[in-house]
Amino acid sequence: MKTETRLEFNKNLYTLKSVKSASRAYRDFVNFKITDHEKHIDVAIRFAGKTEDAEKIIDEFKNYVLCADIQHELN
Amino acid sequence: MKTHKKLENNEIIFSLNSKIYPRDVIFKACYTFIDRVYIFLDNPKRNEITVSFKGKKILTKKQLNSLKGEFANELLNAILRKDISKKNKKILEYVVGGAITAALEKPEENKGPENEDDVEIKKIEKEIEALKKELESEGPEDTGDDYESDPLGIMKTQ
Repeated sequence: MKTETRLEFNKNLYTLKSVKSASRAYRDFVNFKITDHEKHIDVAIRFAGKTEDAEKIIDEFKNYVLCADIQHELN
Repeated sequence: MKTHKKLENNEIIFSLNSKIYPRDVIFKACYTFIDRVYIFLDNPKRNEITVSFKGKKILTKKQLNSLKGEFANELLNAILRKDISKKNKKILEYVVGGAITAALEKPEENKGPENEDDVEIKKIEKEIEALKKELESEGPEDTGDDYESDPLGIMKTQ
C-alpha cells in the first residue's frame, strides 16, 4: 500500500537547508519531492508500508527539520 | 497564549505572539521538549506562531495541558537567558580575550619559580664565565717553545 502526504514548512520558521538535510536522512524510508515556494516549502512524501508507520515517520521528520534548524542557528 | 484546537489525536495546538516570544526563543524552548513530543511550528498570521505538540506516547488531557504549561515556563526561561547573555556579552568577550592573550604570551615569560637544576646550571655557567675572564686577563701563556731562550741557564757559551 502506498501512502502519500504533503507538508508545508513556513519559510519564516524553517529553512530549505534544514528540510533538505532531513530529507536526506530519511531517504532510505521515504520518497521526497521538495518544492520551494515564496512563503513556504512544500514537501510531498510518498512511501510504501503501514499507515501507522507513515504517521510516525512524518512526525519524526518534522522534529528532525526543527532540530536541524536549531543546529544551523547555533552554528 | 491561545489554545486553538486541543486534546484531539493526542495533540495540543496553541498560538504565541511573536512580538513577545521571538523565533529563536521559541526554538530554544522547543529543543528541550523534542525528546517528549513531536513539534510542528507554523506562522499563519504576521505576529502569530502556532505550536503543535503531539505526544510520542499516548497522553491524557491533563498531561497535554501540563506540557503546555511547562513550555510556557521554558519560554520565559529562554527569554531570560537571552537577556542575560546579551548583557554579559562584553564581559565575556573581555575575559575570553584576556585568557587567549595570556595563553599566547611567550612561554619564558610565563615560567614559574626555577627548579634546583636550573639554579645549579646557572651557577656553573657563571663560574665558567669567570674562569674565561681570568684566563683572558693573564694574556697568552709563554710556552718556552723558542729554541733560543734558556730559562734555566743551561746553555754554555764558548
